[in-house]
Amino acid sequence: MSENISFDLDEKTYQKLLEKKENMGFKNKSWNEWFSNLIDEENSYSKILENIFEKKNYDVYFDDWIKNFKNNLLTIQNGHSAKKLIPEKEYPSGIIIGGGPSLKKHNHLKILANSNFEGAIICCDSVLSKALEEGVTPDKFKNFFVVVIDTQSHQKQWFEKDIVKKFGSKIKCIVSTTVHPSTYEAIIDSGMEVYWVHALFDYDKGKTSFNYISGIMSRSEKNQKGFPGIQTGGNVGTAAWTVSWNILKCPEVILIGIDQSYPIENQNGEIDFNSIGRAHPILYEYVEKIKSGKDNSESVKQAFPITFNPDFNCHYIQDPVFLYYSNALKEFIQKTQNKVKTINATEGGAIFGNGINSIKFNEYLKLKN
Amino acid sequence: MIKSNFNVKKIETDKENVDKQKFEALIESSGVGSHMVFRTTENDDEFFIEEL
Repeated sequence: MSENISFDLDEKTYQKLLEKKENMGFKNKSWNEWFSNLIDEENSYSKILENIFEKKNYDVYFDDWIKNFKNNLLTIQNGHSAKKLIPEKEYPSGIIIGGGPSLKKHNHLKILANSNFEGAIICCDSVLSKALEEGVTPDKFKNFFVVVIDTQSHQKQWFEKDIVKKFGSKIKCIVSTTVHPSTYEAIIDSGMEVYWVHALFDYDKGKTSFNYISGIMSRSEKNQKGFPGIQTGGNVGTAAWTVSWNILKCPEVILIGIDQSYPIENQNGEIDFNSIGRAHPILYEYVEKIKSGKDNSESVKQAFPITFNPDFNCHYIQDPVFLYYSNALKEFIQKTQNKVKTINATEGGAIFGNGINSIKFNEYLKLKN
Repeated sequence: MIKSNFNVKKIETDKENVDKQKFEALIESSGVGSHMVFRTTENDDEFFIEEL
């Protein structure tokens, strides 16, 4: 059942509405979606998603963040601030390497290893050993950084590999003050130099916030002004993006392996599980439900959306974790497009839209040669 | 002037609430991820604070 309502708008108002809709990231979405967001933001699916993840993070991680910070405190106070990495002369550009499935599918590490790229390499921790094995090394790329924000002890595994130890002394590691102490030890054992940052999450709560209190506690004779705080966007890929333009001052940032989703052949849910790598078990369960038509409810469509990426002509499916990450990263890129040019060369995945320049990776590298 | 037409669809509020409750349950059961998105009304602080 529906009802038609008419009203008049002057052209100027209509133009302003169009601009506002586009600027809020709703260019390709319906008017209804945008209006719903405007008047019912607290109750929108994306807001519900973010609120639940905030609560889950507090429930699952918060105590560990405090413990890790406490155990790291002396090393933080005597360590280097990531501000020391701010270059005197900016790097012309920076490539963020994430571990998404497009990286392998498009052979991006080999392509990069064989290129003459001259900017900074900012690698996510989990993909570091793979990058080094494929020839993306600090011997070839002198300005080589790795970012670590995850706080569980198993993160140390990325730094215990022989190839990481081989190149460690030439890599600078940007580390959150809440990482597990065993991760810090593994980084140091690999020969890397550590540069600390605080992962922002509650600084908006002012002087009672963990961010504020830990910031004050970190200050020392050596680090009188403390350490920088960064937006992580909830994941290391977005944290690397923040680092690239705020600390390394790259005016242009290129993303590879930042899928924040899983590739799927089409909207009927045909999925190439081999290309997924690791995924939460719930994804497999719901892909089966979607394929079999057992559950086509709005809630499932919202939590496990299958979307077409027009820039790279492919479909992708997300679970709620990737949805949470990608919603934020797309919003951030759009908001900061006047400060940093973000180029997505992942050739797949969920990062496209207003403010995001998409290009095939080898075409980008050719343009730079 | 531009004449705008809105086609107002009646929605079943109960169904929408059920969908949102089911959505919440799905999110709850789907893992926690790595970290948390930081939100603030202070635009200058949203991405980077040089000295914390």
